[in-house]
Amino acid sequence: MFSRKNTLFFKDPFDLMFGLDRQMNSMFGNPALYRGVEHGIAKLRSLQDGYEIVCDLPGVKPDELKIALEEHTLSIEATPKSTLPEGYEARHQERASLSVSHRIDLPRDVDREGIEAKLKDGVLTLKLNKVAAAQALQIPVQVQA
Amino acid sequence: MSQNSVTQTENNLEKIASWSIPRSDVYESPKDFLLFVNLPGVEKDKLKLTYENEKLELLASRPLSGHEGCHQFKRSFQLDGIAAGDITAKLQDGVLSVTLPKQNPPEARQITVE
Repeated sequence: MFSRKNTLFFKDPFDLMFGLDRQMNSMFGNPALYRGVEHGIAKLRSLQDGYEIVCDLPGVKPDELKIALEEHTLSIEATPKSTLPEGYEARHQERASLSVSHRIDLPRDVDREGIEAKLKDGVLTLKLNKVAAAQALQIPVQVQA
Repeated sequence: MSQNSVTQTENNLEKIASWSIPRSDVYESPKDFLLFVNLPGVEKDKLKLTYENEKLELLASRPLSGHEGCHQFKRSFQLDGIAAGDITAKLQDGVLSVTLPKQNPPEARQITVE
């Protein structure tokens, strides 16, 4: 496949790690698992006044991204278009599995109305507010005559 | 790995909390190579790309949300037959694309026999 001349290949110690990475992928049959090397897993972090979810989506454009909230489960789905350019032949591919699907169970005190999403430099950041704690309610006692 | 090590990028010192090898794709056409590298969270001024001794080296960093220090991406690609002066690169939506034109092969020359 590779010609001796005009070849682009990997010739450093990291190359070994790639072989391993690929082996792991084929072993578990789910390359998406290993997106973690790029901090690819959606992580929920608790902040003082709410929560933050950060998820790497390199190459994803806003119109290729779908975020939905059902009950207390947030789903993030992205199906980016293929990057295979016309007139080119693939020589080496590690970014092939670009479609992403995450489901995150949200804490019960998340304000469903106030979720903000921002996509910048291939990183999705969601800001979630906490619902104000319910006020203690006084229950008047009726005196029976 | 290189935990707690310090690297100098431009004028400021950044603490590296973690590092990884970014994923990449390589495509080839008769006239050039096209390289895509996933660099989520990397801004243009935090990316260093050098080509020297037929080796393309990439060093980039991104801030870590809620952590001190940055995350570093590093990878190198050994190349030959590349027109080094015509390499172009673009960083968009967390993906770096590099176009590496091939050197023109020497033209076939008819040799006149006297």
